Amino acid sequence: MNKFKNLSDAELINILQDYGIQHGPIVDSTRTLYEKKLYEYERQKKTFPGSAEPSYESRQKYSTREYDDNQDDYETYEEETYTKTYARPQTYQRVREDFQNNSRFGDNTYKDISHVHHQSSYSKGVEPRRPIRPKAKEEEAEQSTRRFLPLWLQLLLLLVFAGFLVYLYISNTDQNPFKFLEESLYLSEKTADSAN
Amino acid sequence: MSHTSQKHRDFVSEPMGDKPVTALAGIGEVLGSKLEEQGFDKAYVLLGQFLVLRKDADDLFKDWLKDSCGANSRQADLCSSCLKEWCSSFL
Repeated sequence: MNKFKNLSDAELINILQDYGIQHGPIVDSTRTLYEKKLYEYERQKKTFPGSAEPSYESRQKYSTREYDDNQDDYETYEEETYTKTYARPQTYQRVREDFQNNSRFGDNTYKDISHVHHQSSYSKGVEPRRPIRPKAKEEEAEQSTRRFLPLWLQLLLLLVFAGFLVYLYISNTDQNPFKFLEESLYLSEKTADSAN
Repeated sequence: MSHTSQKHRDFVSEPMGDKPVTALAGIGEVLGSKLEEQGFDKAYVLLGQFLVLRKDADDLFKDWLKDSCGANSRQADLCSSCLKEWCSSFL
């Protein structure tokens, strides 16, 4: 991480652009953030050397993100034309309308559901929140595959090891720990025989 | 009913003036004091940082907020959407 500290702002911007990381101006209060982003990016690149061309991967990632954003916007406008109450994109007017509505109806209990839904999704933020972020999921999946051995293999190895220990125990001691089982089996067979 | 907090609605309903940084949704006493230590005592100072990070494009602002004052994802989300909505009204 320290290697970025010595770079000039222009050099840092060049690297960010090479990697396709979106950035704003580099000032004292933002520099550490970008240094950290670069560091994380390079670490990820080292962990997954399979992705040979770094800039391609990141650009792909960001372009899909943009695509998602566009979709979100599209949905927003669709909702707006649907409800029609909020055709204008200005929030201020929207807020005022909201107040008017409230004063007229006293309470918004009687607003129909689509209306309420839209209001909430709008006031969450300018772009509606992405419900589940696919990126985060991917990262989680990547982290789980970063395990040295997969989980099922670990369990299997544990079982094999346990079996091996039991085998050692049986072969080293004359006494069979499962003797009582065999005896009970033998006894039950015997009783079955005598019953016959 | 909307899902935003009263704090969020209060903040985005008017110009921020000289409001303290704790007037923002998602910034309570603890985060507020940490931000104040770093010089972000007023909401408009944090707005400046928000704008310099391109209005939270690609979660830049949220990441910065988490790093700088230990905010969790939810707090960062709340604060970012609060500033974003304020900007869309008053900027």
